[in-house]
Order: sequence, then C-alpha cells, then structure tokens
Amino acid sequence: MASIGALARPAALRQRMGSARWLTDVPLLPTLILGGLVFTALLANVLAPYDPTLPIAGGRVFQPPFWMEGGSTNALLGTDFQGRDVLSRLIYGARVSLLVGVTGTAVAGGIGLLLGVIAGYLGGWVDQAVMRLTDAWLALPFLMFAIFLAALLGAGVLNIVIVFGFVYWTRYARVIRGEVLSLREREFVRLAQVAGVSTPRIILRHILPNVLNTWMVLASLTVGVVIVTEASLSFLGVGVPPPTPAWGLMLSEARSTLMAGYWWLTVFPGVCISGVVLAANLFGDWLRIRLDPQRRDL
Amino acid sequence: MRRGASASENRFSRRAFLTQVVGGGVALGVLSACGPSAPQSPQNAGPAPTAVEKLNAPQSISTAGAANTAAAQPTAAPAAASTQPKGQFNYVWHTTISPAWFDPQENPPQITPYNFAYALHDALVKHLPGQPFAPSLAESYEVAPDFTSATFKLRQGIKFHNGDPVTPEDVQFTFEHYRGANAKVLHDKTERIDLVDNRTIRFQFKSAFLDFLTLYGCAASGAGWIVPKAYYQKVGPDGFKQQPVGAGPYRFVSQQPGTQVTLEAFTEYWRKTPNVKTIVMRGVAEEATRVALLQTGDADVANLIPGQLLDAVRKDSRLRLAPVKAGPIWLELGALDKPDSPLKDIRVRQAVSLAIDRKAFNDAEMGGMAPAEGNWIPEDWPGAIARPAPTFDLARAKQLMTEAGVAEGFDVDKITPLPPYSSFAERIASQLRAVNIRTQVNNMERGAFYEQLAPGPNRLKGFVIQLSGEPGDAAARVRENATCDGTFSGLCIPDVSDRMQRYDASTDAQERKKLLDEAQSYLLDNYLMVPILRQALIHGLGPRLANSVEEIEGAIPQYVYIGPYEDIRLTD
Amino acid sequence: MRRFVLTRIGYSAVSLVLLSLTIFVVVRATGDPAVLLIGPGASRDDLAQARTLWGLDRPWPEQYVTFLGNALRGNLGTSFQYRVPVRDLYFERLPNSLLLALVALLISLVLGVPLGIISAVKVDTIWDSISKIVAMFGLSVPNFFIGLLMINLFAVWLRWLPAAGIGTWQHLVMPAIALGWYFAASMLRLTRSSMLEVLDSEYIKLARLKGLPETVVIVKHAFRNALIPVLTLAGINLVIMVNVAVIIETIFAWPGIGRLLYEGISFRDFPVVQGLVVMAGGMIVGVNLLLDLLYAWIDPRIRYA
Repeated sequence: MASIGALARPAALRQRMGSARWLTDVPLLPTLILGGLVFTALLANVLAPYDPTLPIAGGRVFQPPFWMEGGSTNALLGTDFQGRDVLSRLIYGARVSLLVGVTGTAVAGGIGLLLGVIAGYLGGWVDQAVMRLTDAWLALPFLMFAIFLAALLGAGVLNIVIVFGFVYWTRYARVIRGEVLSLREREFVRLAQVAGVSTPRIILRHILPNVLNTWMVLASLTVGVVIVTEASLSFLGVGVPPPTPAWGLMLSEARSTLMAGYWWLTVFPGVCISGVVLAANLFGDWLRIRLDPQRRDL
Repeated sequence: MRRGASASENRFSRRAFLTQVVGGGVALGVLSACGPSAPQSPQNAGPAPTAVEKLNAPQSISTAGAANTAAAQPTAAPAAASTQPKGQFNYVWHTTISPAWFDPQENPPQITPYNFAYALHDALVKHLPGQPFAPSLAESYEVAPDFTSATFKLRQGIKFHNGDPVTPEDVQFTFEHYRGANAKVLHDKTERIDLVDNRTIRFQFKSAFLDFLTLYGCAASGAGWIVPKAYYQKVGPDGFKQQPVGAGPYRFVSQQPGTQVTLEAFTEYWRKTPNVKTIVMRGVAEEATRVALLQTGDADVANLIPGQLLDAVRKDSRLRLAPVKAGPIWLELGALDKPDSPLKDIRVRQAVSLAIDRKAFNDAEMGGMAPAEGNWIPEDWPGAIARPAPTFDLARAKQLMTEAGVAEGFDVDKITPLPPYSSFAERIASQLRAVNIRTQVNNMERGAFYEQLAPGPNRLKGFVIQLSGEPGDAAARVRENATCDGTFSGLCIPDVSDRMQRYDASTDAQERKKLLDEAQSYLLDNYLMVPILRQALIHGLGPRLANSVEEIEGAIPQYVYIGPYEDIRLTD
Repeated sequence: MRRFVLTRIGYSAVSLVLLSLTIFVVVRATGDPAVLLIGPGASRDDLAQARTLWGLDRPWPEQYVTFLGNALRGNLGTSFQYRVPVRDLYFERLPNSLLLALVALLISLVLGVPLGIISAVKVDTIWDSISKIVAMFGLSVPNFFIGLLMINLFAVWLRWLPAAGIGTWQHLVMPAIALGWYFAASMLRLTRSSMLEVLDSEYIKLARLKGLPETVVIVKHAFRNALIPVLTLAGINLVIMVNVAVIIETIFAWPGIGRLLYEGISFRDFPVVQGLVVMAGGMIVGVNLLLDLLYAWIDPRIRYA
C-alpha cells in the first residue's frame, strides 16, 4: 500500500512546490501590501493613536487632514462625523478586513471545495444535483439572505461571513469539480482505485492535494471580493455593525459627505480597499502562473 | 414618528408636532378638550414665546362669528379674478410613496400619510397655519359642553374632484367605514350619526367623549378626511388607492406606485385656487441623491437633509434649509439590563442626564437647529407638561456618581437606537464615557427592533434611544410607552400604570389633567425617560420656491412637511 | 421524448413549489409585519385589525394553501405596504430592471472585451499593465461609490446628465455604468486570459504559419474561439446584475425590482417577497427547462441520460 501510495503521489505537485527557492520569487508590491495588512491588523493596538470607536477628546467633528486648513496634527487624517480619528479607524479597520476576508474565503472555499470534490469525484446524479444547485443558486437574491440573517441573528461580523460563504461557494464548486473530473481519469488515481484504496482516502491523499493549487489561486482572488462586498452590505445596513471600524463601513457611512467636500472620509478607506484588492489579485495572478502556467481561466 | 413605516434608511417620516404660533396674532378662545376649562390669553405674535402655547382643541369654532382668524376663508368658490394655476412643482420625498397613503380611510398612526392628505383631500376640521383645529370643509362646528355630541356644518358649494358635491352622507360614510388609527375608539364611543339637514351632521356619543376632537380633528386619525361615498363604493378600497378622488387642493392625475405621483390643481378648491398647476412628487431614498437633485434644480424641495449634508446645502447660496420641529428624542433608562445595575439609583440616572451634551449633539446632528425641551412628549401637545430643558453639567454628574458609589463607572449591556439612528447612539455612548459609563452600540434590523420593543421577556433592556412623533396626545404616549401593557413599553411601574388606568376611567377633566400631569412628572423626576432634544427635521428648499420658510414649512401645527399645498408659489 | 418532457416539467414544478414553501416559511420566521407597517403608537387593536386584514391571523398551513392556490391562478397577492397587486408591481418594474441590466451588460462587454483583447495581444507590455490596473480599479471600488462620484461629477458639477430618476436615455447612462463597471473589469480579465489561451494554441500557430495577417488572425480566429467562455460569463453576470442592482436602484432612484424586494424584506411585506422570489425562481426554472428541452430535441442522446 505504502509503495503504491508513494507511486500515486502526484509528481507534479512536488515539482512545483518542491524547492523552497520559489519563495524568493514573490512579487514585491503585492506581498508588501498584504504583509502590511497583516502587520497592521495584528499590531493595531500599538499602531493606532486613538481608540477607533470614541471621539478624540478636544477634537472637532469633520476635521480635515492635518495639511489642510482647519486640520491639526492631533488627527493626521482628519476626523469623521462623530469626531473619531480616521487614521485609527483605518488601522483597526485592517483587522476587520483581514478577518472578514480570511473567514469569508474559508467558508466559501470550504463549502465549494467539499461540494466540488464530491460532485466531481462521485459523478452521476450527485454531480448533476450539485450542478443544478449551483445553477439555481445564482437566482437567489443573496442580499435578501443578508437581511434575513440580520433579522434573525442580529447584526454582526459573523453575518457577513455567513452570507458571503453562502453566496460565493458556487464559484469554487464549479471550478474544482471540473478539475476533479479530469483528475479522476489520471493514472495515479486509477491505480489507487484498482489497488482498493477507499474513496475517502483517495480523495484525501490524491485529489485534494492536487486541487489545492487551484483552490489557493481562487482564494487569493476571493479575498478582494469579500472586502468589497462588505462595503455593499454596509450600504444596505446589514454589514459590520457600527461603531466597529471597517473600511467598507467607513466608505458607506461617509458616502454622502462627498457632496459636502469632506473627501478624506471616503478617499482614504477607498484607497485602502483598492490597495488590498489590487495586491490580492496580483498575488493571485502570480500564484496561478507559478503553479500552473497553462491554466488561465481562473 | 419614532418608528417609521415607510421604506428607506431614513426613519424621519411621520412626525407629529406642533409649531409655536409665530406671526399673525391669533387669539383663540379655547377650552381644553381634555383638561379643565382654562381661558387662553391671546398670544403675542413674535418669535418663539417662552410660554408654550398648548394645542387644545377648541370647543367651538365658527368662521362667521369669530373675529380672529388669520385667514379669512371665502365660503364660495374663488372669484374669477384669481389667476389660473401654472407651473410645476417638483417635490422630492424621502421614501417610497405608498399608494396606501392616498386613502385616509386606512391612515396608520403616523404623520406621513397626512402629507398626501393635505394635498389630495380635505377634512371637516384640520390644522391650518396659525390655526389648530381650523374649520375646513366645515364652515363651523360645535362640541356640546358636556362632550356628548359634536355638530358640524358644511360649507356651501364644496365639491370633490369628480364634481360630486360634498354632503353629510359622505361624512357619515367616511366615519363609519374608517379603518385606520383609533378607529375602534371612535366607533365604540359613537352612538349614532344624525344627518340634520343637507349641510349639517351631528355625532352623538354614548357618553362624554372628551377626546373626540383631538382624535377627529387632527392627525390622530383620518376619519375626518372626507372621501366621496359613491365613488369609493364603486371602485373599492384598492381601486381608490390607485385612483383617489378627494376634496383637496390638488387632484390625482397618475402614479407609478412607489416611485412617483403627479397631481394637478383643483381650481374649485374652497380656500383658494392653488398657485401651482402641477405637482410631481418623487420618492428618492438616498439622501445624497436628494441633495444632488436640489443642486441641479430638478427638485424644488427635498425632504430630510441629514446632519452630514447640511454643509453641502449651506454652501450653495441658492438653497435654503427649513428646520421643522418634529418629535422628541429621548433615552429610556427604566428597563434595567441587570437587576443590580447601578441605574437603579436615581442619582445615577440623573448623572446620565447631566452627562449628555445636548448642544454638541444638536450641532452635529441637526446643525444646531433643534429646540431643547424638558419633556419626552412634545410640550405643545394636548396634555403634555412643560419642563425646562435639561442641563449639561459634567462635574455634578461625576459628583452624583461618586455619591452613589460608582465613581469608577460601570457597564451597561447596550444602547439601542431606533433604527437607523446609529449616530445618535454612538454619540450618546461616547458622551457617557465621560462619567465612566461604558456601553455597546446595538444596531438592530428594523423588524427585529420592533419585535423587541413589545413588553415581555425579550424586551430591550439597558439604554434605548427612541424618537416619537406619531400624532396623538400625551396620554396616548404615556400609555404606549410607560405602562405595563403599553404596546412598546419597557416599564411597569404602579405609580404610572395606576394613574393611567384611573385617567382612562375618569370623566372629570380636572381629575384627568391631574393624573396625567402626575404620571409625566413621575417619569421625568425619576429620570426614567430622559429627554435629549426635540428633533428638527431639516428640509431643503430650492431657488424656485417663492415662499418664505415660515410660510410653508412648519406653518401647520403638528405637521412636518410642506403645506398648505394651495399656498405654494414658484418664482417664474 | 414525451416522457422526458413530462419528467422535466415535473421536476421544475416540484422545485418551484419547494421554493415557494421555503420562502413562505422563511419570511414568516423573520417577524411580524403589522408592527413595522402600522408602526409605533399603534394600539393593540390597530395591530390586530391589520393582521386580520392581511390574513395573518390564520394558521400557517391555511395561509400557504391560499397563497399557493392564488399563485397558480396568477394572483400573487396584494402588497401590505402598497395595497397594489404584487403582480402589477412586478411587471411594472421588471422592464426597468431588465433595461438597466442589459445596458450595463452591454457596457461591460464594450469596455471589457476590447481592452481584454488588447491586453492579451500586447501581453506583458505597458498596455497590459495599464489594463490590469484599470481592471483592478473596477474590481475594488464599490458600485455605490462610483455612482455617487458620477452624480457629483456629471450631474451636479458638469450638468451633463440628470442626477437620478428614469425617463430618457440620459437617465440611463450613469446607473448603467455604475452597475456595469465591476463586470467590465471581470470581462476584461476573462477575455484576456481566454485570448491568451487561444493565442497559444496550435490552431493559431497554424494560422500564423499560413501567413495570414495578424489582424485577421486575432479577430477572425482567436477572438471567435475566446468568445465562448466570455459569453457564458456574460449570461451569469446578467443574473448577478439583477441581484445586485438594488444598490444602484437606490442611489439613482431607479424603479426596479431590486429595490422592491429590499423594501419588501425590510418591511416584512410578505406578499411582495414571496411573489418576487417565486417569480425570479420561476424565470430561472423556466429558462432552464426550455434550454433542456431544446438540447434534448437537438440531441436525442440527452433524453436517455
């Protein structure tokens, strides 16, 4: 068994991930940005000058950034409608974005992986059922789920994660199912089947490691989507509950203030969101090319 | 209203309130409908008199007799010399426009439908600028001294939009088929309706009905807004909502349900011919878009400009802001989140009230335009008591906290605002930090919020910020919010509940006033309800509107939208 | 063939009924419409009266049967809030939503596909990088923000376009761009990668070897083949657009079904929510059914699968 197992281990994977030298090949800018995100999220307590949920003592409401007239160095990037420091909220917002991005991706990716593998490997009516489900799933107005969840569970970050996972898994399922379908026909899988290896074991040891690449690429692309979705959910009132600092929420809360000229309330969170999405996508592109240059449709 | 029933993120809609009588010296010899008879002295015209003028329903009003009315109403159709209406007025409304609002027969207890009622319909008695309970479709009316009957005499020559005359049969039909707010009370207490002659109608009650005029003659119910019997029966309630016919200054032309309504001037309106020919009302839920429409000139008036956008409107010199007094905003302290919470102690509750910086709140949220009042019920409502506005005294608050033994502060589970007034809760929560009271903002989804506002084990505890503005009177407000089985009450205190029960049972006006005053005093003196501010709804007026702010916004008592519609003028 | 048709129709019917049952239960689990619609200050009597008026005091099974029975006859109930038949509301607003989605889709294709082609043809050059950045921008800025920016710029400041509403083609421009923006970016990426894959293929190498001019190679051969996944995505995007349009509809006061549903949920307007979800489900199921029947008719093997 062990020898067949070794034989069955996909050589391709080892080839791609074998040498550690690929680590030095990472793209600079995306990694810096993403690293910065993680760093900021982890050390928010230390980095942020103020409590993000409280107004600055002695500060004003709608104070501009310090280099503008009316600004002051006590709030470098200005203050918002409640008088809270924008910089501190951005820093703590990194935490929420990271949290939502990672868990949302995990939930969507987890469900999608599970269903995709099952559909692809088992085939037949299971495959048909899952594919039909993914088709029909598009029709459901998922924003409705968000509101229902908010009504049933109360507002919270968890809701966003659930809603997002609930909605986005179809993408994973389809792509991974396709991948598994072709993997199923490969030599090493056939060999394992012939050798009598149990289905769960085959899936675990042979299928999963090979879809992992695809999954990772998809995941890196998903992170960006979650973060932007958070903003949309906040717009509808079912996102991160105020006064939690979150970039999407900041953007949504301040969207009217564009007209009043308080640009710093929207531009800074907007830049943060765009930066992270850009970085995540570039990283995902790099990852895809690195892992499977032939694959272009992710 | 506290809790809007219209769609959209803004829950400002439906405020009932009374504006102080400004301008036009109006002397009203009135008798309180729900209190001891107290002659009112004529109020001087002028800015905000310090004494609050009460909104007391007059016992009888007649245009023929009184030498006091500001607007001398013609009793016949306007003279031919008046100019024809022209032009189009574009009104941007802040929520979906529900066709249900075109039918006064089903008016919910909110102020929003009355915007449409004032445009499309007319009532026997309604508030007019400077004239609460003004006779409108009725030329005169009289409430019996023992409150057992009320008689109305219709004007001559009044018609509905479809040409049918307004008759006592229509009044009777309207009343008997009314299904909206307070329908049960009105129907239960009415014995019968007599059609005395072809212009006179008398309501006979089973017993003294002190609140009749308060319920019938203002926005507490839609029963007084007359619909045409023949037409209503022909098309049915749903058909009526699709194509309403009324007796008001504007007739219905067309609608796209929810989105837009088009109205046209009814030149035979008894009060005057409207100046503007066409009115188009559009529902725009997004506040920034409403302001944009104002700035581009596509809107002549836009409702509800939020605090964040006031500067945007101020910067544009062509635009004006019209603050209108709505209902009070208050903080509920009575439902304790923990049985041993320090909020049990009255000193702590007082400290909470002293720690709220109402001026900062006002400046940020309402551009400083909100009046400060000392009661959580609008002071100018029937039965409400007036109190001096609460003060902001952080030092005293801290002292009281120390005396109560909680100088280092404590936690309150949560502070829940009426959705979507999150910023109110955030502001109060951060202000309370100054006395070391820590709490979490709890923003709920609308539906869930209302569910948890009903009395019961799920009732919201800790701090709750509410707004109120439904039409009614002080007694209704106390009943709903502070008695053991009030619809939205978190309090169950014998001192209050008992008094209200006795109030409801009593027929002695003096006793009722005493009980109601005591109930309100109890709540305020014990800091169970802490008034924050009286909300100011701020509307935006564009350059084409020729009226002054006072003429057209906030001119009608207990009404927070534009009106009267027939008085709107455009510069053109 | 007949058996196939009947079974497929049967499945479709069953799934629709299941959908209706699901949505029926879910909306009722979310709360009581009376309080929301009648509002505060309502006495218990007012609330009870409203509930009776709307048939909410009957037991759930009875309500469901009524609902289903009516739905089968084309009556989706009357909106609690609007007091207008749901069917009328839906069909009045549906064209608006479809118009917006179609134009947005068109914009996404017109913006995304050409840029994607250029990006693929000039891969790894400055054009490619610019395209990538543009795509990123599209994917990372929420559509409500784009919408408000455009209103500020094009309506308030420049006065080129009306700020909101519906009526003329000018009213359609900004909402369609705001809605289509994100999808233009995803079209760009997909076109690019699809083209790259095709350009690398044997077929194209052969065409080049044959000496065909490059433009012909790209347009006639590469693009045609790359188009297939692009069109598939376009179809999916259309459905997604109708779902997310609620935000655009709110910003631009565009009377579509997205906003109708959103308000229906917020107000627990059961008939509206039930009606709209069933209609949407019905359309999807209906379209799938038609496609299935079409494929089966074209390719008999499918019937026996």
